[in-house]
Amino acid sequence: MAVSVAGIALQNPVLCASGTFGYGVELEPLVRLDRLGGLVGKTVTAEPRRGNAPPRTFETPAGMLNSIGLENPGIESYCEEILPRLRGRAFRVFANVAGEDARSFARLVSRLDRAGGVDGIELNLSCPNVAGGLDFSTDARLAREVVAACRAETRVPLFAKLTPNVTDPAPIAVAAREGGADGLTCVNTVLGMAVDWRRRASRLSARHAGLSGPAIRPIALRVVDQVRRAVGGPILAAGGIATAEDALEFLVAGASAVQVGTASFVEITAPERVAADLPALLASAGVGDVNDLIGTLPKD
Amino acid sequence: MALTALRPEKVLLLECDVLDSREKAPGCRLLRLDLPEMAPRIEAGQFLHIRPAGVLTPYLRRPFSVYDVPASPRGAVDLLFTVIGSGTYALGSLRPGTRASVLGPLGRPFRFASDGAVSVLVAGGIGVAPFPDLAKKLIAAGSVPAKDIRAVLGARSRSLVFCREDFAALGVPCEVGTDDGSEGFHGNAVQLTARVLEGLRGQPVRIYGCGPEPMLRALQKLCVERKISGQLSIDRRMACGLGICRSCVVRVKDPAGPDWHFETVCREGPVFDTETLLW
Repeated sequence: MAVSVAGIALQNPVLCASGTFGYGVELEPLVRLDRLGGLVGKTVTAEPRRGNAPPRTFETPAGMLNSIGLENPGIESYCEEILPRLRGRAFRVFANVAGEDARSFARLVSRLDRAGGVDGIELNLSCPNVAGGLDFSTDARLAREVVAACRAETRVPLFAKLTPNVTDPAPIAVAAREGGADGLTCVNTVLGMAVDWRRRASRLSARHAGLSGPAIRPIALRVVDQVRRAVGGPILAAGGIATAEDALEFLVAGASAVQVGTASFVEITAPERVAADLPALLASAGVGDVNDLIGTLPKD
Repeated sequence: MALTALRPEKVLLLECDVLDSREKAPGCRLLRLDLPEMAPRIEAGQFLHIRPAGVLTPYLRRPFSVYDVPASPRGAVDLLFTVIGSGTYALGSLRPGTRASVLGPLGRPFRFASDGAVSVLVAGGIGVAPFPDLAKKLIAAGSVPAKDIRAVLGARSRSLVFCREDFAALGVPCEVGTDDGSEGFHGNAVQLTARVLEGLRGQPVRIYGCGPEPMLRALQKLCVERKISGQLSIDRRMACGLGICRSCVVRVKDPAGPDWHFETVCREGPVFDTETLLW
């Protein structure tokens, strides 16, 4: 089941998605992290953040809206307290960071580089839940600038996490790669909204929020397809992936690995279950090596 | 954000059989699940996070207080809830022979001590759900004799007063109040609690509360005014139940200083001290 993503060797192509698994270690032994290909931590910012006022989530058909607002303990706490607990494990460690501008992104990446123990860094260019958060991945020039600033700080593989909330993701993907991204994560949440008509109010304290879960899987798959055709891989796919069947759809469409996200809120063992189910599912189709399946969907 | 409090080694995620599902009172469902591994781990005030097995909708789990861990049948766990939306409707529609996915036991339980204090359990509507089990465990632990427990049940109307018979069976004195005066005291649970406290004057008291947020805020005010130690079990929309998704946060006073921080109802709660909860 081993795959290689931007030179990072994963024991299998299943990761947990940022923001849906905490930092992983706090869930052991309820979850068995060593069965995952990789663990993407919740977004970390320069300073600790309390996040948005509640209510922060609302269930929708086959999914949910969230506007957590990047609650996190800050980069220092992440590097000092969390990263050391992730060293020497069977899974690969991906940090996910968000800054306010190219410089603050670069500082975060530089700090991670210094800390060590990080196999890949995902740049959250597309969190919809903080002021201005979406800008970096709806604007090709900004995306390129942020990635380039980060590139200058590290040789650790960088992944730009893209938004689906653009007319065409291809130019953003191209810009991120030009800026020096080793790979792309597709996709972050889809912007949505829920209204309580009796109260004449939004269901969430933030007016708009990010939609995730199986409801957005077809959108994520479409973006992966567009990005693959525009720039190729490697792509980390995210968006409603909850089963091994889902995972293989994305691998065929060109993703090198998948991230299980909101499904973990429903079933905290979803990522390890997806990883465990892959071999038998592949065998049932006569596929011996998962790499033989990746990107086999014809491009046109 | 604390990475403490949850003890994942005590939490189980499993599928189980539905043993029974019935209407305990109009709109109030009792769901009995077969959970022999989980049942002995449950402490009073903890909750289970459940969903029908094998379906996509409702997508997220629903958190319910444990209402009872009956002696028989062994391994059964009873949950009590009112049907208010599509999630509770689907769970209320589960029947024997179907399966549920259960995560639990979750959350910090009620704390109790055998210090001679009278335990007053104040419930608003379906907020009574965790209290029969709490009363049972207070008595069983030898901490508090039944005569030193009071159940105070408030509801909008007579038909929405649940579980009187459970307290009667335990020998726990029970006071009922209704907003419309259709049964017992004419007024809300907190007004009734104030009256019950009058009758307990001079005795040390510990208050446990569970119910709608406005009621709990009023109960908290009463506790603070009378300098009574109280624990409130609160409800919030939640997704994961494990402190990961950060949905169900409430503001809690910092241990030192005037500032506050967020804690999750699922992980650091659902039981909070009246002294520190800022909502």
